[in-house]
Amino acid sequence: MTEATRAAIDDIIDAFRCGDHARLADRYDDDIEWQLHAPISVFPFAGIRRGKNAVLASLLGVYRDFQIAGYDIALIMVDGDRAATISDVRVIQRSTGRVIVSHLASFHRFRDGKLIEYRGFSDTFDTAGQALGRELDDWVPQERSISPWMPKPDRG
Amino acid sequence: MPLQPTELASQNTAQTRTALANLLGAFTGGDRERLAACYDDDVDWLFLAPASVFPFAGTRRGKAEVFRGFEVLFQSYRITEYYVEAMLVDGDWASTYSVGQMLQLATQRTIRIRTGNFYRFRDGKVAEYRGFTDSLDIVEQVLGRELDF
Repeated sequence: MTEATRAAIDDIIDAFRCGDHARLADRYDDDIEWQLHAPISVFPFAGIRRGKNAVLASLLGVYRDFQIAGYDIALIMVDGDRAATISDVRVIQRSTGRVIVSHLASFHRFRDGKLIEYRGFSDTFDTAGQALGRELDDWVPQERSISPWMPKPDRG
Repeated sequence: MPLQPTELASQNTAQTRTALANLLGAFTGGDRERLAACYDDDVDWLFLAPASVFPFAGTRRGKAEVFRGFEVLFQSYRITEYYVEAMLVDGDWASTYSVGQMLQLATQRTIRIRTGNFYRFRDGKVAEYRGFTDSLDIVEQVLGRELDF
């Protein structure tokens, strides 16, 4: 099963890089449950999606808002019907031209060679700040920003 | 007869699975001494979240620095629930998708957190760690309000 999972995750990564929507659709189970842990107020395509059509609509939202400029896999792991990856993502926000870089952790589960479950994480405090073009630390009360053993971050 | 590459990989995976089970047992059991024994002295550790809110987050190098971060965590929070929803092991690497709750001691707020964790083991000890969470959501829970940006 592990080798079939490895082939499936390799194919999904390649299809995503190529923007091959049809191939991605073919790899998604009709009953897929997909969740990108990120604020939908900043990233409308995030949150929970159930079913292939809802997930593909969400992915179209990604492509609508961002141009994928880089998607490099830093780590890929496969175990039985599951795969996990860390990817270095670089996108260009179409409305502003801002370049946003992030590390994305992804957890996949496959059934009969098709993706049935997905969970994605990134450091959303950082990525939301990049998307908004603001330093979100400015929204954090100062008394919470001081730790007894770490210097206050230098914001230049 | 020497082990073949596939046998070596399989052996590594089995050792990693044992090491991960030991690590998770020490963490969920709150056994700090056993937990410390699970980490390599020269561990390369990174939890991706703002250090301005979470003093234990960011990059830590070496076991002593990692555990100073844990001490800061345990001074401010008590972990009330932690379970692993998914687990993978592949060679020297292990990964977990975990769900937990922490009590913020200063406010008695319950913080709900999901994390993606990646560990590389060397000789049965954690030599590398990368941790992910929806950090903006956690910041808002810690502050007790949504950020108005």
